[in-house]
Amino acid sequence: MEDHNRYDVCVIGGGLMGSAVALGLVRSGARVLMVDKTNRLHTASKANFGLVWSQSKGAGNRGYSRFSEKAVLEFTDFTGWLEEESGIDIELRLGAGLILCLGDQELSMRTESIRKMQHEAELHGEKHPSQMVDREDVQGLVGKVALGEEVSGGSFSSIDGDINPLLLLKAMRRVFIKRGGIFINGCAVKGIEKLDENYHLETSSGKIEVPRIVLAAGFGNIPLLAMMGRKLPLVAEKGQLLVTERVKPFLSFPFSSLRQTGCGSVMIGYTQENTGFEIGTTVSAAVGLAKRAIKIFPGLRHVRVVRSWASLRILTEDGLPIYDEINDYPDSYVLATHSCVTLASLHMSLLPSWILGGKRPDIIRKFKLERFNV
Amino acid sequence: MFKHYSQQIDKTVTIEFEGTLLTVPDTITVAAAVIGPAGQKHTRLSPVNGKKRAPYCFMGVCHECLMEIDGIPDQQACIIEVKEGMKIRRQASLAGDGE
Amino acid sequence: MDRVRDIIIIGAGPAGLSAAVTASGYGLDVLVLDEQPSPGGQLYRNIERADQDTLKILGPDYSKGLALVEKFRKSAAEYIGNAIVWRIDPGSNVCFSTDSQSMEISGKNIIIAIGAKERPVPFSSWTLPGVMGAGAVDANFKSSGTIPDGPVVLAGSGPLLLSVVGHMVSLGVEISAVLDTTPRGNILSALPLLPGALRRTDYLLKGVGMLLNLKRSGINYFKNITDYKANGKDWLESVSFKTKNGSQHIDAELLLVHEGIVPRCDFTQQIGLKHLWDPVQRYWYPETNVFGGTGMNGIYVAGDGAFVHGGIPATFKGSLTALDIAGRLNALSSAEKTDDVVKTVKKLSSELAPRPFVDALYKPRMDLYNINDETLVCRCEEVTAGSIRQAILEGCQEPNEIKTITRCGMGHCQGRMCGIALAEIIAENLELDPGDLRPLNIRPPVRNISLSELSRVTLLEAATP
Repeated sequence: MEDHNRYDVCVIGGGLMGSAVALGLVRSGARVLMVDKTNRLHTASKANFGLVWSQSKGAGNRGYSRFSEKAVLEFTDFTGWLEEESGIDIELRLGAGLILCLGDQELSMRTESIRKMQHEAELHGEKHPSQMVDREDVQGLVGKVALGEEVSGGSFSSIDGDINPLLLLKAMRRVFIKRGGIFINGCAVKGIEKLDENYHLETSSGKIEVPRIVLAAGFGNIPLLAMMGRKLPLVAEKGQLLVTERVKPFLSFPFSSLRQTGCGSVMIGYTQENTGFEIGTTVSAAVGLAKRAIKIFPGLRHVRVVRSWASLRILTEDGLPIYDEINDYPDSYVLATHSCVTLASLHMSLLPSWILGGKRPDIIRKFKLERFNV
Repeated sequence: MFKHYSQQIDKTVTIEFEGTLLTVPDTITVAAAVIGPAGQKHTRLSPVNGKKRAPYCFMGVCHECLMEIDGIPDQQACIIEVKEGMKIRRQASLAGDGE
Repeated sequence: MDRVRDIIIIGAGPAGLSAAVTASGYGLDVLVLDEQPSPGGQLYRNIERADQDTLKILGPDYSKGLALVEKFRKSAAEYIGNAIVWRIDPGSNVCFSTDSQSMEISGKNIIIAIGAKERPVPFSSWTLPGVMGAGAVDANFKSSGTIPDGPVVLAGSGPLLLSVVGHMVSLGVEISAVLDTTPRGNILSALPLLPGALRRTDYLLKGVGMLLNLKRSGINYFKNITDYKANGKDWLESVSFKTKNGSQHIDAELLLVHEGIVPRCDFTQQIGLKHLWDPVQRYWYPETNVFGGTGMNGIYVAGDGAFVHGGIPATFKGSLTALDIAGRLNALSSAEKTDDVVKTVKKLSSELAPRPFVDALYKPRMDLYNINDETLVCRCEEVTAGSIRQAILEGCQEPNEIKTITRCGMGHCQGRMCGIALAEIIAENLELDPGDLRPLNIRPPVRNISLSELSRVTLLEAATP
């Protein structure tokens, strides 16, 4: 561990956020160290639904909608490069994504939300890329599969889609290492100090000296920033999921709450619960998810559930990302968002030049930490 | 792979394996009937690559004995006893199709 | 089913039955759930329906169970067979399924008594039909009255292997070879433990008897063999292995393997109990006290599921758990409890006297997890040792992370078959002790259930929508 002076930057956190940024950094030619403490408790990256999704992002904030849409549109190029470099098929499907509604009330709420986002886009002379569809349209989209009686319609985006988030993580880490990045797993950062030109990191694997640091550790950013005397206003939102056995392919595009993965299993999500940092599953939530899945596709009733789990979404109070330099700590950066799959393309392409001392990209100018008055 | 030990069987039931009728003791498990009197070597196909698979542990651990019993897939055949008229099928490599 | 039981016992084997008899004897309200159609567990499987012939062939180790099951049937404990438990909530609720209907019930205490399983050890082509655990022979004979249609090859190490060979000889099954992998050196490391074991010469003589019978039976018996492999295209066609004289090859349709016994940690892992690693027998077991009590209030583990000691010790362990709960619920005085506990512990320690010797004698061989890259470790998701090692090279260090990256342990069995092997491979590659790793998570439902059944679970309180 003695010779870590040879790095330009250390990325703390090896999940979807850390890996994307670290990969972008090595691609820009930097010498990058990525460390992860494998804190299994809150690792959102390993329990992700896998949506590449813009249609519901940024109601009331066109800047965030635009950012998400740009990320989705750049995803094909991003994964094309990543797949070629890694040799891993990450199961990208873009071009269709549905937020499905059951009953009239869900449909009218969804209609209202889409109308609002379309209006906001028009105010900027832009176009929101999703629209409402009715039950018949949904039937047309899913083909022969029988829909449940309560299916009333939904909102549809022709740019959204999904990927396998675990393979995305695997591919990004693989290419990061292949391109010369160093990844130390099981390395917990216990102290951060700025001395002279360098950050001195006290870690479970020894001392690390490095001129730049990037905090990309999800909820782990909270204690890291505390070491620098700063607060990070993150909120944990628990989501429970069900996963079924592999079944024959029947659904070629994702719904926001139900998708069939590349291997054939069906992911059924997800609850949104504010229960702090605990990640227990509950049988009542599982029952609710199962009921809803059968209401959508009655044919799924015989399909077996093989496991369920819960994880925490990393939300800010306003739901928007945080990308910022840390005050009084030059060359240190904090990154946090719940949307690390969708935004992966931009995390890799947009953030590195800024982190390496370049200009802050205009498109992220509003995602500062200071908006929370901390 | 397996055969009856005793030639005398007190009570029997008739079951159907892949359309073929079979008379077996009423206390036999489905998995034992399939690799025993039904004369089969495999009970399912791997959902990953379609290769033939057969029960390994016979005590509910390995999940290799998953079969379709009376129309319901993914039943652990090693812990379920036969019943009169039971219809047993090999588990296809992938279950169901949402239809 | 709505009332809160004093104790819900999962598993009707030696430990569960004994706990049920003891606890209901003190007037406690006990419910026993078991996945088999009748009580007995693996050891006393289907014993109520066993005929004289079966009892004779399986001998006293089996027939002893008759008295226990009879006592259980006469007790006030309620019993539900064909009941698949698929979730425990440490609050002390249990979800189980019978006849494709699930319900949630509540108990002040839960005793997890699901026993042990044969240690799954991946080897070349172990997924071929025709390769099974040796325990499958006893399970099939006891439950279904079927026996292998020989010739059969057996491979591995451990008392149960010898016992199964003995049963097969009595059943007239043709055995073409027994391939014993017990390393020559084990006897040397076990010898210092022999004096303790001499407290129970009856057990030692039984073991010696099994070995002598094997030698007398004229079976092709190979000692100190290594590297056994299954060969075949769609199913097993032959078995190959190495002896000190070189490689050998035997045609076979059935290969029965046995590499020791390990606790079944399905529920203890699901609820997140702390597990410890036994360096001698190389397995995880939940941390418990002498009563089977755990770090979670009201959750107990009894019998081989807590640590593998065998069937008779399991009955005493079950009684101890019941005594502790009865004491806590004031169903017996503390003087009575102390008295009964002392008596039971005395019997238990007498039973356990030979255990260190036997465990050392049948200590897993060093090369047990010498698994080549092409071999499937995870049978459900078809994950090879090679892809696990690749993930380790790319920075993964612990079982749950490798699971997410490779799908190892993500299938129907949720790592029951690959969990230990996965840890051993990681430990070997990173030069760690498997005990430094955390076992694979098992997620509810611990046994798969259909979406339809899940959507209709009868919950204790009104379900959330």
